[in-house]
Amino acid sequence: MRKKKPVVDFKKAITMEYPTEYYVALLFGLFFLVVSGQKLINPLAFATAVFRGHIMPYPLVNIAALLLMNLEFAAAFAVVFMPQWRRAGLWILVSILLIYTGCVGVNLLRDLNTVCGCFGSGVRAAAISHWTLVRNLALIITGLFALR
Amino acid sequence: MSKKPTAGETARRVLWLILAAALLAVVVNLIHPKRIPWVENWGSRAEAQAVAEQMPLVQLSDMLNFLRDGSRLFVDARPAEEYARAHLPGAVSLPFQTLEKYPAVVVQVLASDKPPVLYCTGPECDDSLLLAVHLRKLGRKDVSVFIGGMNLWQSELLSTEGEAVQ
Repeated sequence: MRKKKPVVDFKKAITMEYPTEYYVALLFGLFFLVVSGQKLINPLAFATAVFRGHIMPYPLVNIAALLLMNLEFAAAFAVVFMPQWRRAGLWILVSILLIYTGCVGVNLLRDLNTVCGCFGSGVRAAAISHWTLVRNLALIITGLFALR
Repeated sequence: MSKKPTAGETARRVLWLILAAALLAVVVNLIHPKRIPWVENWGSRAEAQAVAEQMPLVQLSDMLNFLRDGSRLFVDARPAEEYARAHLPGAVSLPFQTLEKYPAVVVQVLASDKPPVLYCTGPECDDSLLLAVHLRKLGRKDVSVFIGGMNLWQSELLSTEGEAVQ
């Protein structure tokens, strides 16, 4: 019987023989796996963060929070553990980041002093600023680089 | 490394992941010990009303800065007994529910050279917001509200003043 070729050759991965995009994608996915894991542990905290964005119609806050955090988790899981699905996962994570960044931008324009909560910020988190936008844009560029 | 999937394949997988996430959301929220209702009336919260009133909000991180630099006047809108038990350092008491008993404090807040930051118990109470709206009507335009209130302050074990000093 012919031996099935493994999807990821760990020896090659460890000796850095894969392209840079591969490692960037892994780190990107791991970051979101941790962040979405935190949100899944405490769904109310993330729902509160979505509410505090004051963009989603209030009755839809919990639905949006539940769907977003699970989508983030599923996409990050695909990026890290399912090589065939990596690009799909990356596209989803970049899209989610675009949504978060759009919300931060809108709230900056509205001059609303709120926290982002995009990555499970604690209660002492600083309010959104232009730096929040810069950070999110840097992450979007990282995601797009991994998609090359 | 595996061959790069086509755009069509990627699009199909995106849809599958969205479906899987929706299913995961249903299952996880069914068995989660901290599950939340799918629909909740967030609109009744004081913060939602504050945004509707275009009232500036203050975060805990801002409050810590204000406490350090002393640039704001903290105003406690809770009943006087609650203020006596514990309040934010340096806060003045101006109970919204019995406002007519405190004309001197109202004048003090209106005349203060520091912008007032109002708070009450927490996100569920609206005394601070109602008082802020009232003060704004009286001409104090630079009021803001710390929605987290006393509950958030105490949950972070920050220092307080009053009978039950922390």
